[in-house]
Amino acid sequence: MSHLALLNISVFSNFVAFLLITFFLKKKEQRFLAAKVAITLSGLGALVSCVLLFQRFHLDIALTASVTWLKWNTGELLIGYYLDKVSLMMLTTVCVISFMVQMYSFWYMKDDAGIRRYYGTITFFSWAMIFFVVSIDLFGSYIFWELLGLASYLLIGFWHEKPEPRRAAIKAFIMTRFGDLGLLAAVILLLVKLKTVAIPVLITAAGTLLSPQEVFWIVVLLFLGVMGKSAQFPLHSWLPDAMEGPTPVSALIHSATMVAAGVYLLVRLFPLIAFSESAMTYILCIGALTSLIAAVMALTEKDMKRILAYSTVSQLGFMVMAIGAGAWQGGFFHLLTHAFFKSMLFLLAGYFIHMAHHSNDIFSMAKVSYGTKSKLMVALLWVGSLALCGLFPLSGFLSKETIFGSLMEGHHYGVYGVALLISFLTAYYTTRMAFIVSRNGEVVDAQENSLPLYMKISVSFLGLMTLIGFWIFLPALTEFFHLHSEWHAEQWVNFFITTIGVVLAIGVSYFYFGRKQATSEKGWVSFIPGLSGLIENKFFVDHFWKWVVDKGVYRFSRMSFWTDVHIINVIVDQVGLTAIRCGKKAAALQMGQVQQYIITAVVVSLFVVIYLIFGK
Amino acid sequence: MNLPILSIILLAPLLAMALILFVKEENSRLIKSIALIGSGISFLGSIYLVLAYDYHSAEFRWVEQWFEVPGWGIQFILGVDGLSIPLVLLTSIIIFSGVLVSQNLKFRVKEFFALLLLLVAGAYGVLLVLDLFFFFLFYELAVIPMFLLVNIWGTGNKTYAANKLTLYLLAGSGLVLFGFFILYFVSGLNTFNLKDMLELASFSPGMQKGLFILFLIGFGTLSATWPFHTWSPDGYASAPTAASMLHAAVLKTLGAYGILRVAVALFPEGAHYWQWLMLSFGVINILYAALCVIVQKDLKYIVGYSCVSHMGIVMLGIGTLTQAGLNGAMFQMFSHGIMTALLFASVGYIYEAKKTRNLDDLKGLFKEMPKASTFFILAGLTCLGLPGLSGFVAEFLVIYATFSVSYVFGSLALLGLVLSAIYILRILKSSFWGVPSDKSTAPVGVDHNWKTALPQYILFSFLLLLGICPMILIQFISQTSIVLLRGY
Repeated sequence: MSHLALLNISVFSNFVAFLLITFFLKKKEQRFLAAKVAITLSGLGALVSCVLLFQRFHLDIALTASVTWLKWNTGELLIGYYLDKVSLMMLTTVCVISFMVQMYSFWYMKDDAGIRRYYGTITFFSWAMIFFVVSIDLFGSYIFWELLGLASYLLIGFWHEKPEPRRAAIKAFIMTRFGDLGLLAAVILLLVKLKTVAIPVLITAAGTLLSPQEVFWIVVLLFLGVMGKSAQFPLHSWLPDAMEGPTPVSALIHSATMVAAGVYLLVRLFPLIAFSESAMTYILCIGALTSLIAAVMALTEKDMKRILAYSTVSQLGFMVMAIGAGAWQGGFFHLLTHAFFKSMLFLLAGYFIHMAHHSNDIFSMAKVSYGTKSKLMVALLWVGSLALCGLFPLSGFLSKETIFGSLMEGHHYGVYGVALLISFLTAYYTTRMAFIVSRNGEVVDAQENSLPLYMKISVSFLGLMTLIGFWIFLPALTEFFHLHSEWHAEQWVNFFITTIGVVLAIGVSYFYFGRKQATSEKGWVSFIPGLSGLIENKFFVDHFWKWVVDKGVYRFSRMSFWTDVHIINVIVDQVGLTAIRCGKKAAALQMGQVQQYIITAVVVSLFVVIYLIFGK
Repeated sequence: MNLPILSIILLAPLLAMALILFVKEENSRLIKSIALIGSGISFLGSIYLVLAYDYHSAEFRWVEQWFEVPGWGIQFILGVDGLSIPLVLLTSIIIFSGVLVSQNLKFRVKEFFALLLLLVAGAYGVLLVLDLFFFFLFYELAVIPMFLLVNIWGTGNKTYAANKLTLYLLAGSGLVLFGFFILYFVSGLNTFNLKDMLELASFSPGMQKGLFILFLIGFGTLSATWPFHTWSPDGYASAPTAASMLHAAVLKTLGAYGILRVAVALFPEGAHYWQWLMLSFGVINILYAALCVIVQKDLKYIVGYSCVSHMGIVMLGIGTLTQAGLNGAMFQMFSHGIMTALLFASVGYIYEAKKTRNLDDLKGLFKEMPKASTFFILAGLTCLGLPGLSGFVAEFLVIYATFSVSYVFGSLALLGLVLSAIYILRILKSSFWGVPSDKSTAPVGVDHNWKTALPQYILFSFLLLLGICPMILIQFISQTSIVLLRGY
């Protein structure tokens, strides 16, 4: 089969599942069939994407195919594929993780009455995400970007009977929409300037056709979209709240794929972005700030999913920071490794929440006694956590090391320091979570029954990718990511510095939470005056947005409506009343019946017409 | 084949109306069938137009001349081009689904359908005639039935709403009539024939400026341009479902149609002179009305104001005076029509089932009436500009065109996208998601069966089709916008 056909299959397999579920598998008793159809088809998509990866990765020529979607005298928009190495790797990652999560979801959602709706939405999401990844036109990217937003909204608010998911869903949509305005403006400005927004053109020629000033503004606007989708400060606060959705949704959308879309877009358009030095600095600063703040927020959090959410925000900021410093390969590599271990961590969180009687609190999980059947899960929790810390030899280490290496080579020593601090905090809060969750408490849990094989496979596969997956592909990746095949003094120094930082952090974490007699909840954070309060108030970001909505939008709304009722309407009514008063003066003609007016009007106009036709 | 296709489209509803007048009131099924057949014939006719139209030329096609008034320059002449064909199709879709929506009507069925058909005949007339005298006459023909429809079958403060709506529209059309007379005399052609006027007339710059603003305000009132918009939410809130569908979708669009057909086509210099005003009107409509929606509690008012907000996009698109902008404006006229009709149809259905339109009294509608809610949600998603549905295409084109003219107006128009997201999601949150409250006094709603859902399916399929393949519609209007912008 041609590569285009294979690509079609991997893009549309999820969409076919979505159509089947929406239009054919509508009955209640078909809900499990719907789920199985979704899993099978997304499995097919994942398989085909792997075949594509192996067949195409050594090729340097991108696969392109497109049709004109809209055309006018000064512009043209395309819909189609652009499959180069970057999109190929991302495609495979998304397809595979989507398949794993859908497989896992069958275990997680099987008792939920809405399982059909769940699979319908998640397959729709996967299709939009996959198409986003391979889209040839920035406009096409925008289309799927928005559809991702819709799917995310529907899935966060999946349990819409409860008020919190409803609130979280609307918050997520509006905040990302606000960012999307920037992206749309950037797309439009590019269109106005270049008459096309095809990605191959943008990454080869755009920089030379635009002035640095123009590139700066376009990138800043574009980055606004990235800030919304990839949860960068100060548009990050929707992501922790989005944890109200089902846990597999968090694993797929709010850690591995959709929130990575923003970072992916930066990677995709890096040649364009790199034309503006000042825009890069801006991106670097926002990324570093986000990463640091989110890491601090995670320090004292008790909700396991929120810890992971903050760590996602922090890691996304880390990637953005790397890209801002010019290390786009490192940022992208980290995006890929992070997608696997973070989605695994979320899936595991789903398991531990299940064990703790649907409580997200890590201290309730600590009370559960984990027996032999949970051994695999606890082990994988540690694998994922240590990968997040970036400890050798897990996949997180590889990508993190690449970023640190690039920062050092680029002589970004300030950023290097910040990254080191973030890495320290990350290692601390991640192992804090892992230590507490894996404590063996007294409550022997009846829920610990044997897990179905497919669920174990999905989690273990992600675990394997974290453990050895990227080492297997390392020879192929070395060239692409500019990894060092041989280590010299610089790399060893780098290795020791980062590893010592991580080990130190794990040590501190062990001191507070790992020991048998540990009782601390907040660790060392309570010793720093003011920090606890700042974290509790979430750095006042939510306060700020609430203020914007209440004092900005709602106040203006009330003002507009007040004007409508009390000014414009009053004037109108007065004019009307004056007319009626005048009319009353001529009351002799008034009979008070509208029908008679109409008859008169019709008769008169008939006479006029007849006169006009025959009168002359 | 020389079938007088335009006459058929125009006369079918009139004939159906005449037939209905001879049927006894009790025989309501027959009345409804006649109405359905009458509007169905027009529907088929307009589908034929769409399929047979050659969109490479921008000439008037299927021109029919019935009679003329010698010496007065009045001709009854019909013809269509790429600007009017989509709107004829729009009118047909709306009246057909409007008749379908009204199948459950019990009160004074005969008059209702007769008036509805009269209204739509007026709308067809405006779109089909190429003579300004009859253009005006048909417009008036459409306004009067609306007054009765609101007054007799309406709800709430209906007398006030009906008076307000009618007076506004008459005032607007009064300005237009005044303008037509000036045109008649000033052009020096002594004709109301629009075709001749487009080919032959030329106006001095001063005259262009004066006439353009006259038509802009006159037609603008008909399409609910701020600050002449307040008839619209009040009127639609009181009107019966089919009437508000038809009025919001078609008659409002006629205002914009008039601006394009008469003002933009005849007065290029006037248009350039008043460009800033059109852009401002457009942006104010979008933002102001969207802000007004956010604090509304009544579903029909919400739709009414959002409709005003969306007409701003049309005005903004026209104001850019570029091909992309006009394409977007015309696309929006069509898409907005279908979307608003779908919104009104869904709200009408929900109101009939729940006897309330207040957001606070409705809760958990999605659980109670999944199908009816889905239609509202889908129309709402069109409203907030979701890609894949038709509203997005229009908004994108218009905002793009605005950016190419002015960054300030473009950025302001963008804000409308967030506001529409806020108001739509707010409605979904308070009324559609969640569980039905136990304390609610509203009756339990009965969901759609296939019969009641049919009009909604028809409307939605167009939203989806145009959202996915916008070129279908763009190819009709693109040539026309080039012709319209000939003098620029």
